[in-house]
Amino acid sequence: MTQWHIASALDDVCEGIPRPVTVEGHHIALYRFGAEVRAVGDLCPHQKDVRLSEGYLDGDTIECPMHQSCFSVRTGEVLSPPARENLPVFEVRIESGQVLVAI
Amino acid sequence: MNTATTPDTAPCASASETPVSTWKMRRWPASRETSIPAWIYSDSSLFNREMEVFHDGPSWNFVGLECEIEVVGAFKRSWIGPRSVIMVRGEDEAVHVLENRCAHRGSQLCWENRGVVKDFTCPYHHWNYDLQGDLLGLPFLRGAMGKGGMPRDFRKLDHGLRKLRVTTLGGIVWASFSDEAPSLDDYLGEEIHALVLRATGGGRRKLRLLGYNRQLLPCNWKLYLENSRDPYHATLLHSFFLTFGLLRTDTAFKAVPTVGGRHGIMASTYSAATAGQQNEVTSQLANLKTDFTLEDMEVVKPVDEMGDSSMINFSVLPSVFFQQHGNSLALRHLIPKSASLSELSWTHYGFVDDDEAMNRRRLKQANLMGPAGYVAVDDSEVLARMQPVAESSPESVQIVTMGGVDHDSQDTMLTETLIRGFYSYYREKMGL
Amino acid sequence: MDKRLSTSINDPALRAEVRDLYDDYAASLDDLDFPAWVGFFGEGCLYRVVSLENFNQGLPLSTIECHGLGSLRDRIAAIRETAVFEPRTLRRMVSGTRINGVGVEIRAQANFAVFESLSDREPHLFITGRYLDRLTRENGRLKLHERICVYDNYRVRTSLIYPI
Repeated sequence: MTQWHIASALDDVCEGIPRPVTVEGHHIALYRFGAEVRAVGDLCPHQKDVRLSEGYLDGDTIECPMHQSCFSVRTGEVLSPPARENLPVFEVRIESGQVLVAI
Repeated sequence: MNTATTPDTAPCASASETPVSTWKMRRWPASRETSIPAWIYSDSSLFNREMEVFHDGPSWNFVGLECEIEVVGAFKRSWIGPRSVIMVRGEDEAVHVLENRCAHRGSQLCWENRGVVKDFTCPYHHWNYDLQGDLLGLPFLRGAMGKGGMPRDFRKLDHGLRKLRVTTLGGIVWASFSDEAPSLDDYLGEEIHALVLRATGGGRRKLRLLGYNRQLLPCNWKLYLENSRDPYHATLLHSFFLTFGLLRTDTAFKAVPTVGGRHGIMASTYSAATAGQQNEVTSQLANLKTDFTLEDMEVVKPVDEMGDSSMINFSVLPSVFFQQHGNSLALRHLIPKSASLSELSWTHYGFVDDDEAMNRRRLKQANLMGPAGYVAVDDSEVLARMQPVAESSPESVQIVTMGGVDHDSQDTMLTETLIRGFYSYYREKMGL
Repeated sequence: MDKRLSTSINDPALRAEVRDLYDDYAASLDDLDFPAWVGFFGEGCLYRVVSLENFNQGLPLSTIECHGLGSLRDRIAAIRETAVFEPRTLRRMVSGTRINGVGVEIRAQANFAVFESLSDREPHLFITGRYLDRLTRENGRLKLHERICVYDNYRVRTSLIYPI
């Protein structure tokens, strides 16, 4: 059953800088685009102990620091190998200056 | 040398001279066609040069069988000369052969003998390559926290694995390091090309892997190569053959050097009816065991599966010997390790449509072959005793005049024409 | 074929009997007493010497394969009568005897290590691996119905002359 959990204060999520959080044991990264925030899984499907949020963000594409697999942070879609799986995408709500994600 | 200079400022003599490899100072004995100097089995600088000429150079090398890597991502390690290579089924479903050496620092990339993977990651710095050998990614390409990283002009395209040229023929994978190598067909020549197809079901049957036998031979690779092109020894050393009429000096036999001695064919026509019997000619030979019979004679009673009453064995330079002994079919991969050490790797195969009886025959007759083979054991023992003698007398000379002094085809087992042919080719390619 | 067989049977007397049989087997080969060696096997036996590589991949090729007592005798006869090889002494060490199962037949295993001393050289470890056995009783005496010698070596050092 999906539940909403607080992931971060909105002010802590800055444009152009991935914000890694852990919510209910899930490693998630938050990405800000103006008033919007997107949330996708933060572990690279290729090498699972690597945080994508430590990689290179170019617009809405995140590049894994390990082997440069690229993903869309809006849709979670994998864009280039060696990773072959998409990232999980989490629904986001912004309420009273807090970013909530649905787990 | 300028004696006016002080020792501190005298240039190091060797820095300005190229060291001369020992092998370049060697001279082949005058009777070139019919003699072999023993230093070719022990000179390590010569060995290195041989690896360049015969394995790096314009040749085609045996790597493995297509049926060993059926699914996408399936790989097997193999050797070309002293270099480790990876044979892998790519995403394009084609076979790729890659040098097993990381483009970064030269670590061996793949440490498993076989497996199925999605990509290759080097254990050392985790550089990651796809199944075709292209560099996909490397850790911290852009550095971390604003420090480190590769130079801005670093291009992954320039740093993939070394990719070899690959051709498949008869379900066998062949590879070359050299762009100068002719097509596989031209490298093999017509006769060998036809025999490869004969040995592998004419390209119409699917090969079935039966298994491997591997042995370390403490001898130079050329000693084994000569042995595999030496019909003269067959009935003398291998009394098992003789005793059971598997090879008889009165059999119709042809020794055929091809492509100027590069390859060598030994073809005998036997009779399945007389296999297992002795006759007048054989009864004169000293090592014939007239009172020795086997309890399980199926081991020495092949059936004529090729339908031409022939047993044809042939040696393809530099790396593989095609074995047909009765119904025991195998590819013997000759892998040089050093001037004094070689690995012999036997891949035994049959066909997917073999019936139970043929399958059983192949496995049973394999008892003649391999490191415990009724027949093959004699060879490894003899070669192991030749190497130290060759090493202790490098200037000694062997004579190879059985059957004459040329290297043309001959219709007899009592010939060293294939060996003479090989060394004619060898001397030309090595400049000796 | 099981790749890993656990010890499941606690029967000290049986284990001791099997261990003794294994020691006697090794001694018969060390002493080149081949009739005695054949005597450890029952009718219709299977004797295989196979690489770990082939065994793990389920490939059927063996380095040595004998079906039945006649085939074992053939192997010995071929070594004695036709094979050409350097003289050597082999010494077999057997350890880690374990009983894996009892029933109509006893399943057991042990480790082997064979040291080889060629006539003018020092001993070296020649080959090592596991015996995977099925034993049955014939007239009260344990006999090998099946012995699979799975050797760990990637490559055999030169030649394998005598049985393991």
